[in-house]
Amino acid sequence: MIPALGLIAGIILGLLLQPAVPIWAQPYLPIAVVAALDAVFGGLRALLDGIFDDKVFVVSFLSNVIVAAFIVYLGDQLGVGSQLSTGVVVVLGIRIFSNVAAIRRHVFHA
Amino acid sequence: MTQEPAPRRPDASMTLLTQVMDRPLDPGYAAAAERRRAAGEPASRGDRSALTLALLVVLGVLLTAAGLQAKGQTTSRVAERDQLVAEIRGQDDAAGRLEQRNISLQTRIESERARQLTQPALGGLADRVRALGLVTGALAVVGPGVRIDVNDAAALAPAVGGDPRAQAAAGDGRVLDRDLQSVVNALWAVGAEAVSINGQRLTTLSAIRSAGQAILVDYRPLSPPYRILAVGDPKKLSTGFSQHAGGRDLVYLADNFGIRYNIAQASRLSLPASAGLDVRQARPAPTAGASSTTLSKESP
Repeated sequence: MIPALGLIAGIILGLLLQPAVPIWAQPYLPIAVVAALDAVFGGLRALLDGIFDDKVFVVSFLSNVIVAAFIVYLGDQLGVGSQLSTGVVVVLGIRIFSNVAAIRRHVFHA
Repeated sequence: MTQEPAPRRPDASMTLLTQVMDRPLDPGYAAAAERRRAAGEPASRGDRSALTLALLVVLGVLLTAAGLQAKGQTTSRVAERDQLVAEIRGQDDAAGRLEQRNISLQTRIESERARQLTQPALGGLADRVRALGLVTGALAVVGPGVRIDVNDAAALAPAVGGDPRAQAAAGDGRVLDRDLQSVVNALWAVGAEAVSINGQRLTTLSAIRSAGQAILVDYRPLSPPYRILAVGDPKKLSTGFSQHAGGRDLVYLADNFGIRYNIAQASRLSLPASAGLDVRQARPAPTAGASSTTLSKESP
């Protein structure tokens, strides 16, 4: 409950502050969001499995975001930016779907 | 006795994909839980820690920033396009208004001149001016004649926002300036007394040109369908036109490129005066004892 309130507080803070994303970071923001969502769903599934650990959650969150952004940046430098970002999005998407399926089984017992 | 290594799984080369699909949860969670169970603490650290809360706030800000960035890009593009479209419409309206004003000023000049020309000292000058004005396009005309509608091929639907280069490549079915030129020349040749295209009266100086995909008549762009009105003897015009080379050209275009056309006789056509004629030379009219001088319009 409290973490959900934290998320809502973050969204409201974002709407109030209207943070202007710097130009150099704009291409990496979508992939960072997807990577962050993967970490969040992983943490949610761990919570429902009964093995949540906040240190692991923080590390997985930050490392996911940084590694995803780095892979996309590397791809841009090598000239295969769109292919690499497609690959990253595919992998993260599969993980998100698996975690959400496990969460669904916990929540709805279905 | 040494243990034999475990037999290789048949899908060992697919470890990447199987790991991605079977182990979506970070193994760090399981390892941390094992450690805590070994130390006797409850398995889950709970989600009440300040670190988790802080991270979720950061996530919220990140989501909002990404959403605002995506929204901002589309709205600015839409706003730019709307502004350009509004400007185009405004300038087009302004040009139309100026042309209307031109026409009304022209009529005023004509009526002034007609008043001057009816002076008996000038003899038959008024009739000469009227006859010339009819042919050159300086005077509006009402009379019987023919109406020819020419349109692009039916398959050439205008694509909104389409690539202009692609449209030009598929332009076989488009009416070109030389098509309109041949039709109008044929009409003049078989005895038309006044011709207009889409409301633009053709004068002795009119040019039918194309610029890009638009056809310009007297520098005014026209869009299809093109309605060509010709005042004259309706029967003579329509039979003469179909026998003339211009009429045969139209049939050829319709058969080979799908250009649509329609010729009809009309008993009353009303053609406006040309808005683009201006005075180029003037000399005082010869007067016999009258004290006023009048300007005469030389037909160029």
